[in-house]
Amino acid sequence: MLADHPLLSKLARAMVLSEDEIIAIRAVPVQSAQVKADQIISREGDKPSRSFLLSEGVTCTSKVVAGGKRQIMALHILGDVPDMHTLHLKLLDSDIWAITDCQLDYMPHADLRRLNLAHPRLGEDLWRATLVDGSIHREWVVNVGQREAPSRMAHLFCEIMVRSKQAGLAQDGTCPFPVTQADLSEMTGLSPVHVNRTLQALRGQGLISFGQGRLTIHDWDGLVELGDFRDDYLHLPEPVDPMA
Amino acid sequence: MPRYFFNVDGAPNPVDEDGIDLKGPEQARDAAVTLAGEMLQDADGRFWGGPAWRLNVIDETGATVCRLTITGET
Repeated sequence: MLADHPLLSKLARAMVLSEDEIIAIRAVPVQSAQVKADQIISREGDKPSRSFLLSEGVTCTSKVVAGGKRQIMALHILGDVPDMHTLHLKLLDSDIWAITDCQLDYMPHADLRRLNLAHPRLGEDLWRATLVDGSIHREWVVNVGQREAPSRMAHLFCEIMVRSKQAGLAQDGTCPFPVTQADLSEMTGLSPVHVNRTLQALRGQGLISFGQGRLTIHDWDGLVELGDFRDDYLHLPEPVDPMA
Repeated sequence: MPRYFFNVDGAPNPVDEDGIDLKGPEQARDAAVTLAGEMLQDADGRFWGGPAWRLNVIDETGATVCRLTITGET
């Protein structure tokens, strides 16, 4: 079984690991922490000496501007490492919050660095994961900056479904999506009332259902067209059928 | 918190079935202005020459909280 180490499960999904690599990954110590929903995990300005792999729950990366409004720039789900970049960037430049109750599996930077130096192939895969994070950030900028409300929301839903499917969390077009309408407002830059109306419109068109912590997509092709969605920016290792 | 309903004449989904909880009428009026701005921006050129754009905000009893009517003339 490879599931006895969170990083091992993550890397084993991306590549076939050698015996040496498996031993080296298992040598990275893991410290698990439980965090309650709506608690802050790391704060802008922190200088973390470890990164965490999200083994349960949903977190987000956000920033508060002068005046108090908050923008959510990224969502993280099972298997993501939201603060992987702090391995090389000393200062955390955004806040990381738990949206739901979460299990965080912390790994010391010193051990991760040692692993990456001894096994460059593994380091490259972790590097690649942060590059995909960057790609998703770029797509979110496009989404928030240029797409109209229904399209913006549709795009977000498509992304969540594909990423959830890839993480093994989605089935038959339904995935966990335990965010509030206030969270959606901060993710999309739409006012809470506009989010509320847009959700009703998407539901009214028979595209989605959203509530009780779940998202169901009823008409994938319709949502993809409305959302102007192409999954190339997710750089999936293998094609994903989000509705399977 | 009281619930308010934002109905837009002529929008694809004119009737707000869910409504949204807001602190009071002042917040509902603020939200109405913001929503109008966002929706008119999305409406883009489709606004000019059409019938007046109307947003009615009602409370749970159906009483009008505020009404925005926007007309565009060229």
